[in-house]
Amino acid sequence: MLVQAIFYTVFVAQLLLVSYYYPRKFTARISYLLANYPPEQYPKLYPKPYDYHAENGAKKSLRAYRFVNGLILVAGFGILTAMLASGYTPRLLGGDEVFVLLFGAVQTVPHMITEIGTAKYFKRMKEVDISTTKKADLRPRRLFDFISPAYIGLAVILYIGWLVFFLGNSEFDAGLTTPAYVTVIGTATMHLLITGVIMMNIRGLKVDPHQAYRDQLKQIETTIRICVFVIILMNSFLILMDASDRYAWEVFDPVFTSLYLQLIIIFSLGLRFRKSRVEEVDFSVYKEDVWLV
Amino acid sequence: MQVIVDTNSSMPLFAQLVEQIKQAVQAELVAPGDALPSIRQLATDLRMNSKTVAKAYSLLERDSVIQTKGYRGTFIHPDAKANSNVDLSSWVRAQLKQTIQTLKAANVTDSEIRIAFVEIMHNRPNSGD
Repeated sequence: MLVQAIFYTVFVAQLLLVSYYYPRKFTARISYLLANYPPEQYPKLYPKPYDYHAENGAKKSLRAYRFVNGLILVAGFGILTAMLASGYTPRLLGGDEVFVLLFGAVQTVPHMITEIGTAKYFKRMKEVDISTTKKADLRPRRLFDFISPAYIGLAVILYIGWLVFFLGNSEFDAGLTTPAYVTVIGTATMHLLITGVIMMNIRGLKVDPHQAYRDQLKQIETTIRICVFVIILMNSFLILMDASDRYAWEVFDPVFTSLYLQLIIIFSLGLRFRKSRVEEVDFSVYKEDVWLV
Repeated sequence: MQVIVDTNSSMPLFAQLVEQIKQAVQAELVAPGDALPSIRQLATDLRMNSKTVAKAYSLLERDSVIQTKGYRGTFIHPDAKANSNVDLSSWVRAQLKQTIQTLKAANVTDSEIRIAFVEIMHNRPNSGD
Protein backbone atom coordinates (compact mmCIF):
# COMPACT_ATOMS: atom_id res chain seq x y z
CA MET A 1 0.00 0.00 0.00
CA LEU A 2 2.82 2.38 0.93
CA VAL A 3 4.66 1.55 -2.30
CA GLN A 4 1.47 2.23 -4.25
CA ALA A 5 0.93 5.60 -2.52
CA ILE A 6 4.54 6.68 -3.10
CA PHE A 7 4.38 5.65 -6.75
CA TYR A 8 1.14 7.54 -7.48
CA THR A 9 2.36 10.66 -5.67
CA VAL A 10 5.66 10.71 -7.54
CA PHE A 11 3.98 10.06 -10.91
CA VAL A 12 1.47 12.89 -10.35
CA ALA A 13 4.41 15.17 -9.51
CA GLN A 14 6.11 14.12 -12.76
CA LEU A 15 2.96 14.88 -14.78
CA LEU A 16 2.47 18.30 -13.25
CA LEU A 17 6.12 19.30 -13.32
CA VAL A 18 6.96 18.33 -16.91
CA SER A 19 3.64 18.90 -18.67
CA TYR A 20 2.14 21.77 -16.67
CA TYR A 21 4.56 23.78 -14.50
CA TYR A 22 7.49 24.24 -16.89
CA PRO A 23 5.35 24.66 -20.05
CA ARG A 24 3.51 27.44 -18.19
CA LYS A 25 6.80 29.11 -17.30
CA PHE A 26 7.96 28.81 -20.91
CA THR A 27 4.80 30.33 -22.40
CA ALA A 28 4.91 33.16 -19.83
CA ARG A 29 8.49 33.88 -20.85
CA ILE A 30 7.72 34.01 -24.59
CA SER A 31 4.56 36.09 -24.01
CA TYR A 32 6.58 38.58 -21.95
CA LEU A 33 9.17 38.76 -24.71
CA LEU A 34 6.58 39.38 -27.43
CA ALA A 35 4.77 41.99 -25.37
CA ASN A 36 7.85 43.97 -24.35
CA TYR A 37 10.23 43.57 -27.29
CA PRO A 38 8.22 44.00 -30.52
CA PRO A 39 9.75 43.59 -34.03
CA GLU A 40 9.50 47.34 -34.76
CA GLN A 41 11.85 48.24 -31.91
CA TYR A 42 13.99 45.09 -31.80
CA PRO A 43 14.36 43.99 -35.43
CA LYS A 44 17.43 41.84 -34.80
CA LEU A 45 15.34 39.67 -32.51
CA TYR A 46 13.13 38.75 -35.45
CA PRO A 47 15.32 37.66 -38.39
CA LYS A 48 13.47 36.78 -41.60
CA PRO A 49 11.21 34.84 -41.94
CA TYR A 50 10.39 35.33 -38.24
CA ASP A 51 9.82 39.06 -38.79
CA TYR A 52 6.67 38.55 -40.85
CA HIS A 53 3.64 38.42 -38.59
CA ALA A 54 6.08 37.50 -35.81
CA GLU A 55 3.56 38.00 -33.07
CA ASN A 56 0.80 35.94 -34.69
CA GLY A 57 3.22 33.17 -35.67
CA ALA A 58 4.67 32.95 -32.17
CA LYS A 59 1.22 33.00 -30.57
CA LYS A 60 0.12 30.19 -32.89
CA SER A 61 3.18 28.11 -31.96
CA LEU A 62 2.57 28.82 -28.28
CA ARG A 63 -1.04 27.65 -28.60
CA ALA A 64 0.15 24.42 -30.27
CA TYR A 65 2.77 23.96 -27.54
CA ARG A 66 0.16 24.47 -24.80
CA PHE A 67 -2.28 22.12 -26.57
CA VAL A 68 0.25 19.26 -26.93
CA ASN A 69 1.32 19.59 -23.29
CA GLY A 70 -2.32 19.67 -22.21
CA LEU A 71 -3.01 16.55 -24.25
CA ILE A 72 -0.08 14.71 -22.64
CA LEU A 73 -1.26 15.86 -19.20
CA VAL A 74 -4.80 14.58 -19.82
CA ALA A 75 -3.42 11.30 -21.21
CA GLY A 76 -1.20 10.94 -18.15
CA PHE A 77 -4.06 11.46 -15.73
CA GLY A 78 -6.15 9.06 -17.85
CA ILE A 79 -3.50 6.37 -17.51
CA LEU A 80 -3.21 7.10 -13.80
CA THR A 81 -6.98 6.79 -13.30
CA ALA A 82 -7.01 3.49 -15.21
CA MET A 83 -4.15 2.22 -13.06
CA LEU A 84 -5.95 3.23 -9.86
CA ALA A 85 -9.18 1.62 -11.08
CA SER A 86 -7.37 -1.63 -11.85
CA GLY A 87 -5.61 -1.55 -8.47
CA TYR A 88 -2.13 -1.45 -10.04
CA THR A 89 0.89 -1.83 -7.78
CA PRO A 90 4.53 -1.75 -9.05
CA ARG A 91 5.85 -5.29 -9.55
CA LEU A 92 8.10 -6.62 -6.82
CA LEU A 93 10.77 -7.68 -9.32
CA GLY A 94 10.76 -4.32 -11.10
CA GLY A 95 10.47 -3.74 -14.85
CA ASP A 96 7.65 -1.17 -14.70
CA GLU A 97 10.16 1.70 -14.75
CA VAL A 98 10.26 1.22 -18.53
CA PHE A 99 6.72 2.63 -18.76
CA VAL A 100 7.64 5.59 -16.55
CA LEU A 101 10.66 6.20 -18.77
CA LEU A 102 8.60 5.93 -21.96
CA PHE A 103 5.93 8.31 -20.70
CA GLY A 104 8.68 10.67 -19.54
CA ALA A 105 10.13 10.57 -23.07
CA VAL A 106 6.70 11.48 -24.50
CA GLN A 107 6.44 14.34 -22.00
CA THR A 108 9.78 15.78 -23.14
CA VAL A 109 8.82 15.76 -26.85
CA PRO A 110 7.31 19.32 -26.82
CA HIS A 111 10.42 20.58 -24.98
CA MET A 112 12.68 18.90 -27.56
CA ILE A 113 10.69 20.48 -30.40
CA THR A 114 11.11 23.94 -28.85
CA GLU A 115 14.86 23.28 -28.48
CA ILE A 116 15.12 22.36 -32.17
CA GLY A 117 13.05 25.45 -33.08
CA THR A 118 15.36 27.64 -30.99
CA ALA A 119 18.45 26.20 -32.70
CA LYS A 120 16.93 26.91 -36.14
CA TYR A 121 16.03 30.44 -35.06
CA PHE A 122 19.60 31.22 -33.97
CA LYS A 123 20.99 29.66 -37.14
CA ARG A 124 18.78 32.01 -39.15
CA MET A 125 19.88 34.92 -36.98
CA LYS A 126 23.50 34.16 -37.89
CA GLU A 127 22.68 33.83 -41.59
CA VAL A 128 21.10 37.27 -41.82
CA ASP A 129 23.71 39.00 -39.68
CA ILE A 130 25.48 41.37 -42.09
CA SER A 131 27.30 43.39 -39.48
CA THR A 132 30.96 44.01 -40.40
CA THR A 133 32.05 44.72 -36.84
CA LYS A 134 32.86 41.85 -34.51
CA LYS A 135 33.36 42.12 -30.78
CA ALA A 136 35.32 39.98 -28.35
CA ASP A 137 36.26 40.27 -24.71
CA LEU A 138 39.93 40.40 -23.73
CA ARG A 139 39.51 37.86 -20.96
CA PRO A 140 40.14 34.13 -21.23
CA ARG A 141 37.26 31.73 -20.56
CA ARG A 142 38.20 28.76 -18.40
CA LEU A 143 36.11 25.90 -17.08
CA PHE A 144 36.54 26.81 -13.41
CA ASP A 145 35.43 30.40 -14.03
CA PHE A 146 31.98 28.94 -14.56
CA ILE A 147 31.72 26.09 -12.09
CA SER A 148 33.31 25.10 -8.82
CA PRO A 149 35.95 22.34 -9.05
CA ALA A 150 33.99 20.58 -6.27
CA TYR A 151 31.11 19.84 -8.67
CA ILE A 152 33.50 18.54 -11.35
CA GLY A 153 35.24 16.41 -8.71
CA LEU A 154 31.91 15.04 -7.52
CA ALA A 155 30.91 14.17 -11.10
CA VAL A 156 34.20 12.33 -11.69
CA ILE A 157 34.03 10.50 -8.35
CA LEU A 158 30.44 9.39 -9.01
CA TYR A 159 31.33 8.15 -12.50
CA ILE A 160 34.30 6.14 -11.19
CA GLY A 161 32.16 4.99 -8.26
CA TRP A 162 29.44 3.73 -10.58
CA LEU A 163 32.01 2.04 -12.84
CA VAL A 164 33.58 0.19 -9.89
CA PHE A 165 30.15 -0.73 -8.47
CA PHE A 166 28.88 -1.88 -11.85
CA LEU A 167 31.97 -3.81 -12.90
CA GLY A 168 32.04 -5.59 -9.56
CA ASN A 169 28.57 -6.88 -10.26
CA SER A 170 28.78 -7.73 -13.99
CA GLU A 171 29.76 -10.60 -16.24
CA PHE A 172 32.25 -9.83 -19.00
CA ASP A 173 33.03 -13.35 -20.19
CA ALA A 174 30.49 -13.60 -23.00
CA GLY A 175 32.18 -11.16 -25.37
CA LEU A 176 31.71 -7.54 -26.40
CA THR A 177 28.01 -7.80 -27.12
CA THR A 178 27.00 -8.51 -23.55
CA PRO A 179 24.73 -5.89 -21.95
CA ALA A 180 27.52 -5.05 -19.50
CA TYR A 181 29.84 -3.90 -22.30
CA VAL A 182 27.02 -2.05 -24.05
CA THR A 183 26.23 -0.20 -20.80
CA VAL A 184 29.87 0.72 -20.14
CA ILE A 185 30.48 1.91 -23.72
CA GLY A 186 27.12 3.70 -23.89
CA THR A 187 27.74 5.51 -20.61
CA ALA A 188 31.30 6.47 -21.64
CA THR A 189 29.95 7.85 -24.94
CA MET A 190 27.31 9.85 -23.08
CA HIS A 191 29.98 11.35 -20.80
CA LEU A 192 32.16 12.21 -23.80
CA LEU A 193 29.23 13.89 -25.56
CA ILE A 194 28.40 15.99 -22.50
CA THR A 195 32.09 16.92 -22.12
CA GLY A 196 32.05 17.94 -25.79
CA VAL A 197 29.05 20.19 -25.15
CA ILE A 198 30.93 21.83 -22.26
CA MET A 199 34.04 22.43 -24.40
CA MET A 200 31.94 23.76 -27.30
CA ASN A 201 30.31 26.24 -24.97
CA ILE A 202 33.61 27.53 -23.61
CA ARG A 203 35.54 27.61 -26.88
CA GLY A 204 32.97 27.55 -29.66
CA LEU A 205 31.06 30.24 -31.49
CA LYS A 206 28.33 31.94 -29.52
CA VAL A 207 24.87 30.75 -30.45
CA ASP A 208 23.32 34.20 -30.68
CA PRO A 209 25.52 36.56 -32.77
CA HIS A 210 24.09 39.71 -31.14
CA GLN A 211 24.11 38.53 -27.53
CA ALA A 212 25.74 40.82 -24.95
CA TYR A 213 28.96 39.39 -23.47
CA ARG A 214 27.52 39.39 -19.94
CA ASP A 215 24.55 37.33 -21.15
CA GLN A 216 26.85 35.01 -23.10
CA LEU A 217 28.88 34.31 -19.95
CA LYS A 218 25.70 33.65 -18.01
CA GLN A 219 24.49 31.28 -20.70
CA ILE A 220 27.80 29.39 -20.76
CA GLU A 221 27.73 29.11 -16.97
CA THR A 222 24.16 27.79 -17.00
CA THR A 223 24.87 25.25 -19.75
CA ILE A 224 28.01 23.97 -18.00
CA ARG A 225 26.17 23.66 -14.70
CA ILE A 226 23.34 21.77 -16.41
CA CYS A 227 25.83 19.38 -18.05
CA VAL A 228 27.70 18.69 -14.81
CA PHE A 229 24.48 18.25 -12.82
CA VAL A 230 23.19 15.84 -15.48
CA ILE A 231 26.39 13.78 -15.12
CA ILE A 232 26.04 13.80 -11.31
CA LEU A 233 22.37 12.79 -11.51
CA MET A 234 22.97 10.17 -14.19
CA ASN A 235 25.72 8.42 -12.20
CA SER A 236 23.74 8.66 -8.96
CA PHE A 237 20.77 7.09 -10.73
CA LEU A 238 22.90 4.31 -12.22
CA ILE A 239 24.40 3.54 -8.80
CA LEU A 240 20.90 3.55 -7.28
CA MET A 241 19.55 1.20 -9.94
CA ASP A 242 22.48 -1.20 -9.48
CA ALA A 243 21.98 -1.07 -5.72
CA SER A 244 18.30 -1.72 -6.30
CA ASP A 245 19.17 -4.90 -8.20
CA ARG A 246 21.69 -5.97 -5.63
CA TYR A 247 19.60 -5.32 -2.51
CA ALA A 248 16.18 -6.25 -3.97
CA TRP A 249 14.60 -2.77 -3.96
CA GLU A 250 13.22 -3.31 -7.46
CA VAL A 251 9.70 -2.50 -6.36
CA PHE A 252 10.87 1.14 -6.05
CA ASP A 253 12.43 1.23 -9.54
CA PRO A 254 9.49 3.15 -11.14
CA VAL A 255 9.66 5.69 -8.27
CA PHE A 256 13.44 6.10 -8.63
CA THR A 257 13.06 6.50 -12.40
CA SER A 258 10.34 9.13 -12.07
CA LEU A 259 12.34 11.05 -9.46
CA TYR A 260 15.41 10.88 -11.71
CA LEU A 261 13.45 12.31 -14.66
CA GLN A 262 12.04 15.07 -12.50
CA LEU A 263 15.45 16.00 -11.12
CA ILE A 264 16.89 16.08 -14.65
CA ILE A 265 14.11 18.50 -15.67
CA ILE A 266 14.57 20.64 -12.53
CA PHE A 267 18.33 20.85 -13.08
CA SER A 268 18.06 21.55 -16.81
CA LEU A 269 14.90 23.49 -17.69
CA GLY A 270 14.46 24.76 -14.14
CA LEU A 271 18.05 25.96 -13.85
CA ARG A 272 17.79 27.65 -17.27
CA PHE A 273 14.65 29.54 -16.15
CA ARG A 274 16.19 30.51 -12.81
CA LYS A 275 19.58 31.59 -14.14
CA SER A 276 18.60 33.41 -17.30
CA ARG A 277 15.62 35.49 -16.26
CA VAL A 278 14.17 37.24 -19.29
CA GLU A 279 13.84 40.49 -17.30
CA GLU A 280 17.63 40.57 -16.81
CA VAL A 281 18.64 40.00 -20.45
CA ASP A 282 20.23 42.95 -22.26
CA PHE A 283 17.84 43.41 -25.18
CA SER A 284 19.42 46.68 -26.36
CA VAL A 285 21.74 44.64 -28.61
CA TYR A 286 18.74 43.63 -30.73
CA LYS A 287 17.90 47.20 -31.68
CA GLU A 288 18.84 48.42 -35.15
CA ASP A 289 22.61 48.97 -35.51
CA VAL A 290 23.16 49.29 -31.80
CA TRP A 291 26.95 49.08 -32.31
CA LEU A 292 26.94 52.54 -33.91
CA VAL A 293 25.43 54.18 -30.85
CA MET B 1 37.40 45.18 -21.93
CA GLN B 2 36.21 44.50 -25.46
CA VAL B 3 38.01 44.65 -28.79
CA ILE B 4 36.01 45.56 -31.86
CA VAL B 5 37.26 44.80 -35.36
CA ASP B 6 35.72 46.07 -38.56
CA THR B 7 36.10 43.77 -41.55
CA ASN B 8 35.29 46.71 -43.86
CA SER B 9 38.11 48.89 -42.54
CA SER B 10 41.12 49.60 -44.76
CA MET B 11 43.33 48.78 -41.79
CA PRO B 12 44.36 45.10 -41.69
CA LEU B 13 42.60 43.04 -39.04
CA PHE B 14 45.83 42.12 -37.22
CA ALA B 15 46.77 45.81 -37.05
CA GLN B 16 43.35 46.68 -35.60
CA LEU B 17 43.92 44.09 -32.91
CA VAL B 18 47.46 45.26 -32.12
CA GLU B 19 46.33 48.88 -31.92
CA GLN B 20 43.35 48.16 -29.68
CA ILE B 21 45.31 45.99 -27.27
CA LYS B 22 47.98 48.72 -27.03
CA GLN B 23 45.25 51.32 -26.47
CA ALA B 24 43.75 49.13 -23.73
CA VAL B 25 47.15 48.94 -22.03
CA GLN B 26 47.62 52.71 -22.33
CA ALA B 27 44.16 53.40 -20.92
CA GLU B 28 44.88 50.90 -18.10
CA LEU B 29 41.84 48.85 -19.06
CA VAL B 30 44.16 45.85 -18.74
CA ALA B 31 46.91 45.63 -16.16
CA PRO B 32 50.32 43.92 -16.21
CA GLY B 33 49.89 40.23 -15.46
CA ASP B 34 46.31 40.09 -16.72
CA ALA B 35 45.56 36.98 -18.72
CA LEU B 36 44.53 37.35 -22.36
CA PRO B 37 42.26 34.95 -24.26
CA SER B 38 43.89 32.17 -26.22
CA ILE B 39 44.48 32.70 -29.95
CA ARG B 40 41.73 30.19 -30.69
CA GLN B 41 39.19 31.83 -28.37
CA LEU B 42 39.80 35.32 -29.75
CA ALA B 43 39.71 34.06 -33.35
CA THR B 44 36.42 32.24 -32.71
CA ASP B 45 34.84 35.21 -30.94
CA LEU B 46 35.87 37.61 -33.70
CA ARG B 47 35.05 35.04 -36.40
CA MET B 48 38.45 35.48 -38.02
CA ASN B 49 41.32 33.19 -39.00
CA SER B 50 43.44 32.12 -36.04
CA LYS B 51 46.59 32.97 -38.08
CA THR B 52 45.50 36.64 -38.04
CA VAL B 53 45.23 36.64 -34.24
CA ALA B 54 48.52 34.72 -34.00
CA LYS B 55 50.19 37.42 -36.12
CA ALA B 56 48.81 40.18 -33.88
CA TYR B 57 49.97 38.32 -30.76
CA SER B 58 53.45 37.71 -32.19
CA LEU B 59 53.84 41.43 -33.00
CA LEU B 60 52.67 42.37 -29.50
CA GLU B 61 55.08 39.83 -28.03
CA ARG B 62 57.94 41.23 -30.14
CA ASP B 63 57.11 44.71 -28.77
CA SER B 64 57.02 43.26 -25.20
CA VAL B 65 53.40 44.33 -24.70
CA ILE B 66 52.37 40.75 -23.99
CA GLN B 67 54.25 37.64 -22.96
CA THR B 68 53.49 33.97 -23.50
CA LYS B 69 54.13 31.64 -20.59
CA GLY B 70 53.94 28.25 -22.25
CA TYR B 71 50.81 26.24 -21.53
CA ARG B 72 49.69 28.77 -18.88
CA GLY B 73 48.67 31.21 -21.58
CA THR B 74 49.31 34.77 -22.68
CA PHE B 75 49.60 37.69 -20.26
CA ILE B 76 50.10 41.44 -20.31
CA HIS B 77 53.84 42.20 -19.99
CA PRO B 78 55.00 43.89 -16.73
CA ASP B 79 56.40 46.82 -18.81
CA ALA B 80 53.53 46.84 -21.28
CA LYS B 81 52.53 50.45 -20.70
CA ALA B 82 55.99 51.83 -21.49
CA ASN B 83 56.48 49.40 -24.37
CA SER B 84 53.13 50.08 -25.99
CA ASN B 85 54.29 53.66 -26.61
CA VAL B 86 56.99 52.38 -28.91
CA ASP B 87 55.65 52.56 -32.43
CA LEU B 88 58.03 50.46 -34.48
CA SER B 89 56.30 51.17 -37.78
CA SER B 90 56.74 54.96 -37.29
CA TRP B 91 60.38 54.37 -36.38
CA VAL B 92 60.86 52.25 -39.55
CA ARG B 93 59.32 55.01 -41.65
CA ALA B 94 61.56 57.63 -40.08
CA GLN B 95 64.66 55.50 -40.65
CA LEU B 96 63.74 54.78 -44.26
CA LYS B 97 62.93 58.42 -44.95
CA GLN B 98 66.34 59.49 -43.64
CA THR B 99 68.15 56.82 -45.68
CA ILE B 100 66.24 57.66 -48.86
CA GLN B 101 67.00 61.35 -48.42
CA THR B 102 70.73 60.53 -48.08
CA LEU B 103 70.62 58.35 -51.23
CA LYS B 104 68.75 60.98 -53.23
CA ALA B 105 71.29 63.57 -52.15
CA ALA B 106 73.91 61.29 -53.76
CA ASN B 107 71.85 61.34 -57.03
CA VAL B 108 70.71 57.70 -56.72
CA THR B 109 67.55 57.23 -58.82
CA ASP B 110 64.21 55.97 -57.46
CA SER B 111 64.40 52.75 -59.47
CA GLU B 112 67.93 52.02 -58.18
CA ILE B 113 66.71 52.51 -54.61
CA ARG B 114 63.64 50.32 -55.26
CA ILE B 115 65.65 47.47 -56.87
CA ALA B 116 68.25 47.53 -54.11
CA PHE B 117 65.53 47.57 -51.44
CA VAL B 118 63.74 44.56 -52.94
CA GLU B 119 67.01 42.64 -53.35
CA ILE B 120 68.03 43.27 -49.75
CA MET B 121 64.54 42.46 -48.46
CA HIS B 122 64.56 39.13 -50.30
CA ASN B 123 68.20 38.33 -49.57
CA ARG B 124 68.97 38.20 -53.29
CA PRO B 125 72.54 38.62 -54.56
CA ASN B 126 73.45 42.07 -55.74
CA SER B 127 72.40 42.45 -59.43
CA GLY B 128 75.61 44.42 -60.05
CA ASP B 129 77.78 41.43 -58.93
